[in-house]
Amino acid sequence: MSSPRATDTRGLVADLFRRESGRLIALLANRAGVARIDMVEDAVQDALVSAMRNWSINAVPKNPSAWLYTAARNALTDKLRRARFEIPEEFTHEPAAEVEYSFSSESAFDDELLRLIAFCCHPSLTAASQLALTLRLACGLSVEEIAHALLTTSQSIMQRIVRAKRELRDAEVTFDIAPRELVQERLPRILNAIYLLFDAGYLSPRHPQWFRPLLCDDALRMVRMLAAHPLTAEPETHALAALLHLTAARSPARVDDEGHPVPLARQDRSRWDQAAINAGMDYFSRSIRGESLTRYHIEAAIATVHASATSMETTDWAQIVRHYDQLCESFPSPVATLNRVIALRYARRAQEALRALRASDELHAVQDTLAYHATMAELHEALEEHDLAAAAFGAAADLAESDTLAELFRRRAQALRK
Amino acid sequence: MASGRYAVRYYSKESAMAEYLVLLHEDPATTRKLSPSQMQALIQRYSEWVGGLRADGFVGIGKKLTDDGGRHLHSEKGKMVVSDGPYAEGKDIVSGLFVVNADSYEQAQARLASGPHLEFGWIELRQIDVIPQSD
Repeated sequence: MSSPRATDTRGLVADLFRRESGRLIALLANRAGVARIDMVEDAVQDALVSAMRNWSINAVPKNPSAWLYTAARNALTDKLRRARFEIPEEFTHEPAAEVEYSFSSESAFDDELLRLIAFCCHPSLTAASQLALTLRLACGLSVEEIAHALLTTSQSIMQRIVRAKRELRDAEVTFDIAPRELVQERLPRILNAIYLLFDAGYLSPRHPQWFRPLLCDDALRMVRMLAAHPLTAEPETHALAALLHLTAARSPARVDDEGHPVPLARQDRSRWDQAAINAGMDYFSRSIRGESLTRYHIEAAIATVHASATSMETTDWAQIVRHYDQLCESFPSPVATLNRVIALRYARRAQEALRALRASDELHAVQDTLAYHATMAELHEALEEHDLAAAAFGAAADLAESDTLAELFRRRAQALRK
Repeated sequence: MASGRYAVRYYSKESAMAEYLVLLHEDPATTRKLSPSQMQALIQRYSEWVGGLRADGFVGIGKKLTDDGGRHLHSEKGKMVVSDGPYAEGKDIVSGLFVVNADSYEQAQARLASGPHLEFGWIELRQIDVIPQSD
C-alpha cells in the first residue's frame, strides 16, 4: 500500500541531516578556508533546504550524502564567485563519479571534523562559547536547539556564537594546528565541551525534559572519534570515553514506563547495556598508562565499580569513597563533595555523611540546589529521620523544573509521611 | 487507506470531477530557520503524505521547482525584458506544484490540510477551467 517513495525515505539514516551538516561544514571550511565559515554555513543550509524540497516530492537519491555534498559545494562556489573570492580548484574540477564514490553516510572525514572541533574549542573562548560553537558547527544543532539544550535564550546563544566567530576571525585563527598544540592546548577543552554536552543530555533538573539521549549520543560519537584518532588517542580521552560509555550503559534502566527517572538504587541492572559496559571497560583499561591522572580517570574508576556490581548491597562502597576522597582532593568541586557524601551514606557512614554535608564550606554554593536537598533527604532517610527527610524531598521537588522529577520527589516525601 | 474508493471515483466518467492546480508557497526565510533535524523529520512526513495522495489518484502531477526563482518576462516598449525571479530577496516563492483531481474545493482542501506544508508555508488552490467541447 505504501508508495516506493515513502519506503525510500524510511531508508534515510536517522539523524543524517544533523551529521551531514557538521561533516559538510568541516569539509568545505577546510577546503575554502575558515575565513569563509559564514558562507560555508549558508551553503550547507541551502543544500539541506534544497534536499528537503526535492526529496519531499521526488524520490530520495541513492546516495543522499553525495547529493548533499554536491549541492553544498555548488552553492558555495556560487557564493564565492558572487563575492569575487577565489574558488578552490577541487570545487570546479571534481568528477561526479569521485564524489559518488567517496561520499556515503559511513565515510568519516575525521581529520576535517577534528580540525573543526579544535577550532571551536580555541582557548581564547570561554567554555560556554566553545560548547555553543561546537554544537552549532560540528553537531548541526540550530540556535534554538542549543538554547533549549543549554537552558538559555536563542538571543544569548546567537550573540555568543557571533562574538566567538568574530574573536576567532580577528585573531586570524585557522584550521592549521600543530599536533602538539592540538593535544596539549585544545584537547582538554574539547574533552570538557564533550563532558558538558553529555551532562546536559543525561540529567538536567532545570529542564522540562530531564533526559535527552540525542545530546548524549552526540557526546559519545565525538569521544569515540577522538579515541580512535591517532592524534587525540591520549589516556585522558580514553578515560572520558570510559566514563561516558559506562554512564550511558545505565540509560535503558533509568527511565520507567511513565518516563520518570529511576534512581541507581532501584534500577534493574539486568537492563544495563552490556555492550556499552564492555566498551567502557575496554576504554578504561587503555586509559591507565602514562603519567596523567585526570578527573575523568577518577570518575571513570568510580563508574567501573558500579558497572561491576550486581546490586547496591554488593557494591564496593569503601572503594568508591576512596575514589571520591581522591577526587575531592585533586579536583575539588561542590558536585564532587556532594557525591562523596552520597557514597559515605551507602558505605554505612550516614552520620558522618550528614556531618560532612553540614560542615563543608564547599557546599555553600550549592545549598539551595536540587542536588543538595535531594542528598540531604537521602541521608535523613537512611538515618530514619522521616520528617526531616520528607521536608528535604519537598524542597527538592520545589526546585525541580521538570514535572517528572518534581513528581518523583513529591512521591518520596509522601511515602515518608505515611 | 481508502484508496479503492477514490480510485473508482476519480476515473468514473459520471462524476463531477475537476482538476485543480495546487501551488506550494513558502517564505524562504522561514524555511531557512529550520534545523537540520527538523528538515529531515519534514521530509519523512511530507513524502508519506505525498505518497498517500498519489497512491489513490488524487495527485495527477507533482513537481518540485528549482530553487533559483526562475525568470520574469515583461514587455517594455514592445521589447521583452527578462529579470530574475524573486528568490533571493523574496518573501514568497512557489517551491512546488500539484495538479489534483477532486469533486469540489472542499474535498481538495480537506486532503491538502492533512499534510505538513501549512506548518511552514501556504497553499494556493485554483480550479482548472474546462472549455466546453461542442460535438
